[in-house]
Amino acid sequence: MKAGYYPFGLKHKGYNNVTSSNGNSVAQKRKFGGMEYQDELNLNWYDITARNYDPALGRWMNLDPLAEQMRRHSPYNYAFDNPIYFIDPDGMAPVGSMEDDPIYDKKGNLIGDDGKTSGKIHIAYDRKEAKGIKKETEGGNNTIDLTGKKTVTLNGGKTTVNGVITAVENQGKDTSPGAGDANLHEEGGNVNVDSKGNVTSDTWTPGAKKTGTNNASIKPFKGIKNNPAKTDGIDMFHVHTSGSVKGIDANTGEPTVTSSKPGVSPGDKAQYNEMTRNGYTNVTAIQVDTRGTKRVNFYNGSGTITSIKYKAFKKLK
Amino acid sequence: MRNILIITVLFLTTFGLLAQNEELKIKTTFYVNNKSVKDVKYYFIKNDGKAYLLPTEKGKIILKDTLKTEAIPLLAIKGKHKVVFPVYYYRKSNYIKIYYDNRVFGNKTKKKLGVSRWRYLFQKEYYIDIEGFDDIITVFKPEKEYELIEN
Repeated sequence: MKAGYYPFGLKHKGYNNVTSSNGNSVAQKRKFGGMEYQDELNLNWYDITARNYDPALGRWMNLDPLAEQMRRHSPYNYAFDNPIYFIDPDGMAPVGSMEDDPIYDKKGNLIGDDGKTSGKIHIAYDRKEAKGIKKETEGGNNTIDLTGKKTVTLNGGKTTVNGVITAVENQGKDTSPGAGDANLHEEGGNVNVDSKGNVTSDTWTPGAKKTGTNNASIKPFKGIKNNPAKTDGIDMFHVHTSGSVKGIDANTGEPTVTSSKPGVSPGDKAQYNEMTRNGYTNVTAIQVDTRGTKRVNFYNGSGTITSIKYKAFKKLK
Repeated sequence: MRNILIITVLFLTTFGLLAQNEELKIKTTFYVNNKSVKDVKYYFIKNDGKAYLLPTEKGKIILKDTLKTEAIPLLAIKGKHKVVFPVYYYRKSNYIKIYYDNRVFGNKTKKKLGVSRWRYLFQKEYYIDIEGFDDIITVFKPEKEYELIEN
């Protein structure tokens, strides 16, 4: 059933009232922005990942988790009260729906844009090519052609950047009060962009607590609400642990310190390969090292494509 | 029915015996100041506190897969270097790398492993990288002495 919406998400009424009983009842609950409409208890609001949104009021029902970053605006406003230009795909922060896709260099400097408005972010990781792009931009070219250039792309743009930042922050906190797994568990999530440009984001169930003798890797996509389609642009990210486990090893009786290996693990690469084998063709895989200097590694089934400092990555939002 | 049971029991017994005789071969490399060194001896530490020399083949140590413990306790000896370490996930592992690097400047090992170059500066510290195990294990000069059994 086709549905129309007012800019703030309230559904048009008076036409297309028939709902097929043959349809998927769960899928039919996905309405404005592809988000789940919650009509139970007469709530009539949307579950938009980080917050609940009431389209009749045009207001969020919960405080903005990033309120301190947008102090000029009410923490309850939707898309800066301008839903024609901005969208808020996950309840974290409004993003300009009409902005051209930016291109950054490895240091997080904006060097150009590709003239498209798909909400993506590109990183040109080859220093020479990045310089060339910058030069082209300074020469007035605002439709940089990235074909054949060494780039990695965040399909979900700023939503992915925010997702990664949240995962890094959560890695440093206990998964539940008193769990004692701050800095000792992995966090992760994914952002999907469907063929219509709808963006959904999910967080994965946190990994097990690292004990010093176990592989406490996070299980990709565990606990997600929105299963990605094979045709989606998918950004998947996970954060390795920053902490160490000290103790006497039970097998040797000698003191040991265990801490995560830097970089992408064989398991990470295997997971990417499995996704490729299963027909997911547009996947951007990200792993973050949090021990020592924080680094964001982009990888595929063969290994690391490029690595940038977390400090530079944060500048992309 | 009886025949099937006998065949099943025979099959399981044979399979069990074969599995017990399976060998684990793990490539081992010892790096001192970022260069691999030769003639390293590897010992298996048993519960009796003695260390038994492990046979090697083309740079790989050979272990009989009769182990039921979560990790294998090993001792590596190269000159003054004595390293005691556990090997977790040994059935998934094709290699073990041991690193030692005490250089203050130009310490490529610590940089590669993401360790602060000032950390454990005055202590003999070894880093163990085991394929299949997600962590780097840091061990120090062993506190115990082990009786070495060479044959």
